[in-house]
Amino acid sequence: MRNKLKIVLVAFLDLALLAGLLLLFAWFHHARPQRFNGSVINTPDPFAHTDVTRAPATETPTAAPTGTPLPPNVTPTPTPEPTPEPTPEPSGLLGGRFWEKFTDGEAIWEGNTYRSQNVCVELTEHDITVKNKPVHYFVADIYIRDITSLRCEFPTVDGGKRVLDLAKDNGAIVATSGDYFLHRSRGVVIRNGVLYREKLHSSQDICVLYRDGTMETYLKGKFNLNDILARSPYQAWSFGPRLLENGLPMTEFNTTVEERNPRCAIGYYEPGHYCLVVVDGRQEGYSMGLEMADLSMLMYELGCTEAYNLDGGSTSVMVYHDKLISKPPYGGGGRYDCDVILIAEPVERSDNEE
Amino acid sequence: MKNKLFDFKNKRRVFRVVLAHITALLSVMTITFFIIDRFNDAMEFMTSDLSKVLFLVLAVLSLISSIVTIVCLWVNPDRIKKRKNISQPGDKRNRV
Repeated sequence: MRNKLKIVLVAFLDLALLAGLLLLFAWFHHARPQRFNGSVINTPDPFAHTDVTRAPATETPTAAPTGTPLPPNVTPTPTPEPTPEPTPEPSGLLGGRFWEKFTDGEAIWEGNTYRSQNVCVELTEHDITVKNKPVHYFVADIYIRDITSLRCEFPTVDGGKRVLDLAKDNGAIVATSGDYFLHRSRGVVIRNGVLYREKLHSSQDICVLYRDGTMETYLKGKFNLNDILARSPYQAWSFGPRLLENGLPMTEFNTTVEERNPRCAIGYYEPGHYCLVVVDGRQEGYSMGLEMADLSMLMYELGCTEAYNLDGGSTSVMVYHDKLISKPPYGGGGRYDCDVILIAEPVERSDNEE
Repeated sequence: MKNKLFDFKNKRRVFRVVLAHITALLSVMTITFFIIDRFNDAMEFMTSDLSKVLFLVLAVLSLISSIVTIVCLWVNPDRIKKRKNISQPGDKRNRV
């Protein structure tokens, strides 16, 4: 009897030690504050290829000098009516479209809408039922005239920051979690025009936002990184999967996590028009999250032509106007040391950069 | 039997017991990560640098454990035979 007790005690000690080791591993693996240890691989001029069109310099017609007496046999020609001052063509990614979304210069917060000369963000909340389960999600409809309004940030020096902290620090209008690359060792990483990591993940699709405002998603193994780099990429995320194929919803994905989960995704309509979507999940009675196929359908219904899934689960959060608006599962505020995708006023450029 | 389970004076025995337990724990951890990785490979439980260190430690401990076991079986077969003979009933050496 005593011997049996000892065996049980040893087994219990082993299990306790196992639990401790697993917790220790989890802490070092994905809970410990991280700093990005990768190095910058190339540092191209961040604005070298920014497609900011400028109004052409037009010559204004010179008015005829007045007060000069005309010869008697010359009939005066009617003076041309003064042409109105040519208004400069709207510049930026959207050209002249969606002008009503922007203001003349002032920045206005109106409830769930932000408008300024360069940025417009319209935030909407939705409650739907999918397969008899409630789903709550947020959509930030984004219009930007300058590609530098869509930026990515990540903790570089001091760890222990969440999406809310990074959003506040960088003056974000709206921000979501990114692809959580700090805690992974593979997957191409390009942030704000800088290539930080080129080691590809063999089983992940990637998403690239180019400096001309176009966004493209690539299936795993079906792209050449050199071709992408040659086109001057501005951001590249490596998580996935790709959610739309030729603008249509998909049913098969390059992922093993297709079941219901909190989700985060980025959608693309046209250069300068994007959306960020965060779906709350794992909360009975409030929101149970979406399956990957349902997320694909959602992005299709939103009208996106390209869409890409970012890190979900406890990572996915959305911040609007310095406030965490989504409800991450387990009552947390999102993971520490997650990279963020944020929308902010464009980076001011010096004359030299222009 | 009373002192065998927690006999910390016999250093060789303690070493072998601890080695066996740690190897078993690391093996269970590896199996756990393998299963989790099947469900969510994005977490890189099988491919991260930390996991690779774990696998290395497991491999080294397994190797040591194997060597210890092989050596014990190689060196002491006679002793094992002797013990078996001792334990046989009616053996004169039992009375010594």
